[in-house]
Amino acid sequence: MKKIILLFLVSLVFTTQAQEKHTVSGYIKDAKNGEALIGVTVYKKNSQIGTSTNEYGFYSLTLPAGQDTIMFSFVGYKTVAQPVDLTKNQTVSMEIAEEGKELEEVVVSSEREDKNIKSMEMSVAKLDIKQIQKMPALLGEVDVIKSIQLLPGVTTVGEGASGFNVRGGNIDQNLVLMDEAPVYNSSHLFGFFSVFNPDAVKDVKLIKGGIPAQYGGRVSSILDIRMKEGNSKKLEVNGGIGTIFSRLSIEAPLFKNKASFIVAARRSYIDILAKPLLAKRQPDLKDAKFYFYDLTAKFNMRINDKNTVFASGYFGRDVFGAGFKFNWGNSTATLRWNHIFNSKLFMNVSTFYSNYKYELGFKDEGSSQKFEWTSNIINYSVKPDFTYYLNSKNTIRFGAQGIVFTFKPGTATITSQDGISSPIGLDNQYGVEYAAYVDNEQKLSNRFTLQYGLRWSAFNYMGKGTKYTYRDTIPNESRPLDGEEKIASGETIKTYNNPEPRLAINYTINDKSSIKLGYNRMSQYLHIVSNTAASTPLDIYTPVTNNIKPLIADQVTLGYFRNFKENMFETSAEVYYKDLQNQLDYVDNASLLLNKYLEADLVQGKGRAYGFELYLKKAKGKLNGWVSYTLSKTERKVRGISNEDWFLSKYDRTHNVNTVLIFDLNKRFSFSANFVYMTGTPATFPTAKVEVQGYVIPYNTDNKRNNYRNTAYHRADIGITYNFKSNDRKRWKSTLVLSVYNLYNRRNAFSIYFRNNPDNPTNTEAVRYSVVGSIIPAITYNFKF
Amino acid sequence: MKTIKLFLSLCIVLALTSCEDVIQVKLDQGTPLLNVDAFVNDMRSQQKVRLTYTDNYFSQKANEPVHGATVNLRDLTDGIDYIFTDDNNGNYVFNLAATDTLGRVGHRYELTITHDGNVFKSNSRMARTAQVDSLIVEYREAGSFGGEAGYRFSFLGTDPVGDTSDFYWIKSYRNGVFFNRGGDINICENAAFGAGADGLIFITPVAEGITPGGERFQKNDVCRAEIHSINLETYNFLNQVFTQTTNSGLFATSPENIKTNITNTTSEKVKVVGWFCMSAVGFRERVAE
Repeated sequence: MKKIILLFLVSLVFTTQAQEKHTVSGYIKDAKNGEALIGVTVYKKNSQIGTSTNEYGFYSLTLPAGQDTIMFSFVGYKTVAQPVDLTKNQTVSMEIAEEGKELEEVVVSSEREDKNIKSMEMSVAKLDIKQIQKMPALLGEVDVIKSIQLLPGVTTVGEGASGFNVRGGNIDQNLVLMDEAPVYNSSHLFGFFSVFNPDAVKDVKLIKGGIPAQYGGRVSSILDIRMKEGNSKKLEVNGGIGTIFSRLSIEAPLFKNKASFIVAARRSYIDILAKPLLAKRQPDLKDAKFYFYDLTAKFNMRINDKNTVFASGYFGRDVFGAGFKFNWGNSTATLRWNHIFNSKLFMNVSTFYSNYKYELGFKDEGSSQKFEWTSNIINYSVKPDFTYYLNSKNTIRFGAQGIVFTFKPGTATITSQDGISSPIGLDNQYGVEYAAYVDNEQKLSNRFTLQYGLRWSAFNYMGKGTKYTYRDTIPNESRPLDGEEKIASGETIKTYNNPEPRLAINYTINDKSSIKLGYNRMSQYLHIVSNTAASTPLDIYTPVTNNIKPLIADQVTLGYFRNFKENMFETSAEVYYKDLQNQLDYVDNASLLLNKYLEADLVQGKGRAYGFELYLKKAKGKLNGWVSYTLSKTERKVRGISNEDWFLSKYDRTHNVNTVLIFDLNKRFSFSANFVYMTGTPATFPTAKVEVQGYVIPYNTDNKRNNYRNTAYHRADIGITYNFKSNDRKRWKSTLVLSVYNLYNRRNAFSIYFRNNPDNPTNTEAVRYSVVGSIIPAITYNFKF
Repeated sequence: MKTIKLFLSLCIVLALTSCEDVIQVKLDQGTPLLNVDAFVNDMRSQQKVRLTYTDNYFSQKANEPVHGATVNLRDLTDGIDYIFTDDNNGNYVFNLAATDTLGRVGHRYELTITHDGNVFKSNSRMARTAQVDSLIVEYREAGSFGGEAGYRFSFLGTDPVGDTSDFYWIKSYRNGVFFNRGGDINICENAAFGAGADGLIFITPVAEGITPGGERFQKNDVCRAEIHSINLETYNFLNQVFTQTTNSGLFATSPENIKTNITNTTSEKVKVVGWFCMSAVGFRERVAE
C-alpha cells in the first residue's frame, strides 16, 4: 500500500516539469439545443496532447505558454479550430454544430473516431440514443435495457425477465444510475419494458470491466444513464403514439437561456383498450387495473460561469388490481451542483433520494377481511466528486460518497372477519455505506497510459433493529435460532470494510491498435433475495448483516482493440476472469417472504466466471451496426447444494451471438434488423417421481442442480422507419416505425417444467413455457416540433 | 397467491402471447429409491402406510410396490405397538376396532420400517385439530375464474386459541375422490398464514379452498372436508410439494428435491424419500343442493 502511494507521488513529481504553462477550460455544448456534449475531444493541433469533455461537458487542458490552436472534434459535428494566445489561464466555451449532411453519414457513436483505441476504457459499451431509436424493438417501444442486452457479455433470462445479466452476474449486481441516483427495478410490466423514457435520455454507458475507482457498490457492471438537460434554445416537443405506450416530452429554455427544463411522461393504455373485451368475456375482471406510467423531469440553471445547478426527478409506477392490488415503482430525485474552483479543478456534488416501493393487498368483498403489505428501500446520499486536471499528463479524480439506507422488508397487516387487525410485518433495517476514492489517469508516454486508483468502501449495519444469531446445522437446512438481541437506534450491529484497488493499462501499438489490461475489485453491501428464474417486483433486498457477508468480486480483463479502414470498422477481442465471494443462495424450501428468520435460510458460496468476447462494429456508412460473439462459463459452489460440486449458474450461456444491422436507404427510409442466439439456460430436470398422498412429485436422485439445459434461444426482429416529408419552414417532423419482433415465430423456452397431465393425472409430461409464442408486429408514430 | 399468478398470466397473455406446449425431453433414469407415504390419522377407518420404489419420471404407471417390508408404529407415550400388515400391493395396513381410533392427540409416535436389511425411522406428534362447524354451499353461474356453472362449497371453522401456532391441512373430496392436484394443496397456519391469525375464523381463501379453482360440484354430489392437524415440518413439506408441482411460468423457482423426515438408521448410503405424519382430523360432509 505504501509503495503504491509512493509511486503515485513520484510519478506526479516527474510529470510536473518546470515550464510555464497555462490552462484552457470551458464547456462544450450543442449549438442546436444547448445540450452539454459528453466526450468531445479537445486537443492541441498537430499533437497528441488532448483531453475530452466530462459528463457535464467540461474540459480542462494545460498547455505551454504561447500562441496555439485548439481543436474541438466530435463525430457528426463540425470540427472547430480555435486560436488561443496562452499568456494566462483562460476560459473557452464553445457551441459546436452538427454537420449538415444529416442521415448520409450516420452517427453510431458520438466519439472521436479512434477513441476506442486511445481511451482507457475497456469492456465499455456506449449506445447513442439515436441509434437505440432505430433498432427494432418489442412492441415498437424503444428500450434502453433491451438494447443493452444486445451487447457482448450481456444476456437475459428471457422475455419478461427484468434487468440484465452482465458476464454471468445476477441482476442486482448492476448499478443502474439515472442521473447518479440508483434505480432498483428498471422494469415496467415485469421486464417487458424499461423505466427509461427514451425521449429524456441523452447518453447510455455500460461498464463491464476495468471499472474506475469513482464507481462502486455493485460487482458486475455500472449502467450510467444521463438525462437530457432540456433544450436551452427553443421550445421542443417530442411525442409518440405506440402500441403500448403514448409518450410526450416538452423541453424549453427559461430565464433568457440561462436555464432550461425537460418534462417527459409516458402511460400505457392496454387497460383502456382491453376494457370492452374484458367486460364481455371476463366480467370478473371488468374493473381490473393494469397500467404503468412514468414521469421524468429535469431542470438546470447556469448561475454564472463557475456554477451550474441541476435538479432531476423520476417517478414511475406499475399498477395492477382486480379484487386485489399489486403495484410497484421507483422514485428518484437528484440535486447537483457543478462548481469550477479554477481552470484545473472541477467539482460536482450530487445529492439524491431514491425510493423503491411495492404494495400488495387483498380484500374480500363483503367482509372486513384484508391483507396489506408494503415494502420499501429508501436511500439518501451525498456524493462530492472532484476532477483535478493537474497537467496534460495527469488527471486526478477523487471524491467520496455516503448513502443512508432504510430497508422496509415488509409492513403487513392482516384483518380478520371480526375486524381485528394484526401486524405481521418485519422490522426495518438500517445501514450506511461509505466510500472514498482517488484515481489518477497518467500518460507515461505516447504509447503507455495508466489509470490507477483505490476505492475504500465500508458498510455499517445498525439499529434500531434485532440482531439474530444462528447455530450451525447440517448443510442445506434452515439454521436454528440461537438468540435475538434488540439493538438501539444508531447502534452498530456489524461493520464491514473493503479496499478496492483498480487498475487499467493502455498500450497503444499504433494509430490503429492497442492492448488494454484491467483489474478491479468491487464490493457490494446489499443483495436481492430471489430464487425465481425471472426476478419479480416482489423481490426484497437485504443489506449485509451480521449473518450475511458482502459480495466481493475480482475481475481481470485483457483486450485487443483494432480499427480498420480509417476507423470505419472497430473490432475488439476481450477475455475476462471473475472470482466472486459470498454469492447468495438458498437452502431447499427456503421461505423468502415475510420471514423474520430469513437469514437462517440463506447460504453464501463462491462463484467464478470466465469468457471471451469478440466484437465487430461498423461505425459509419449507410449500413452500420455490430456483430458480437461471447463464449463464457459461469459457475457456483455452495455448501450443501448440488453435492457441493461446482454447478452452472442459472445465468450461464455458453454461446451468445448478437447482430444489429441498420441500413439507411435514403432520407426517407431506414431499415434495421437484430438477430440473437443464446445457448439455453441451465435447468434442473427430474430423474424420478415420488408419490405421496396421491401427489406425483418430480425428484432428482443425483441431487445435481442444473443438470440439463433448456433449448437454445434465438430470435430475429426487423424494423422499418419512415421519415415523413417536412419542408424546412415547418418544424413538425414525424416518423412512422413498423417493427416485427420474433420474425420467424420461434417459441423460445423460458422454462421447461414437469407436471401431471391435467386430464389424466397418472401421466407425467414435460411442458415448454414460452413467454413470446408468436410473431409480434407493432406500429409507432413519433412526432417532434 | 394463486389468484395473483392467474392474473399475472392473464396480463401476459393480453400483452403478448405466452404459450405452453407439451414437448419431448430425454431424461436420465434415476436409481430407484424407497418411497414412503405414511400419513396416519385418528379417523375410524383403516390406516395405511404405502411403500413403493421411485420410477423414472416419464414412466406412465404408478410406482412399483415394495413387498416384504415390516411396518411398526409405536405410541411412545403409551408404549403400544401397532403392527401394519403387508397387503401385497405396496399398502401396509392396520384395521381398527369399530369403536376405536389409532391415534391420541398429544401423543408422540415412532414409525419403524425394516426393508432389505435397512431400518428406517421417523417421529411425529399428533397435534390438536380444529372442527368443521358447517359446510356452506352456494350455486354459481358460469364465470371466468371458476369456469362452468355449479355448486361451490366453503366451510366455517375457528382455530383454537393457543400459545404456539396450529398448522392444518384441509383435504377435500368430491364423491369420495380426493382433489389431488399439487396446486390444490390447502394448508394454513392458525386461521391464515401466520402467527397473527391465532384464534380466528378460517380466512376466505382457506375456507373456499375446499372447492379448488376451476372445480364445481353438481347437484347431489357429496363434498367432504377434513381438517388434519399437522406440524410445522409437515406444513413446510406440503408447501414444498405445492411449489414443486406447480413450478411453472415466469416466476418459477429453481426446482429442488422435496425433503424427507425419514432416516435410514442402518446405512447413509441407501437413500429414502417420503414423509411421515400423525394427524387428528375434524370433518363434515354435505350434499350439493
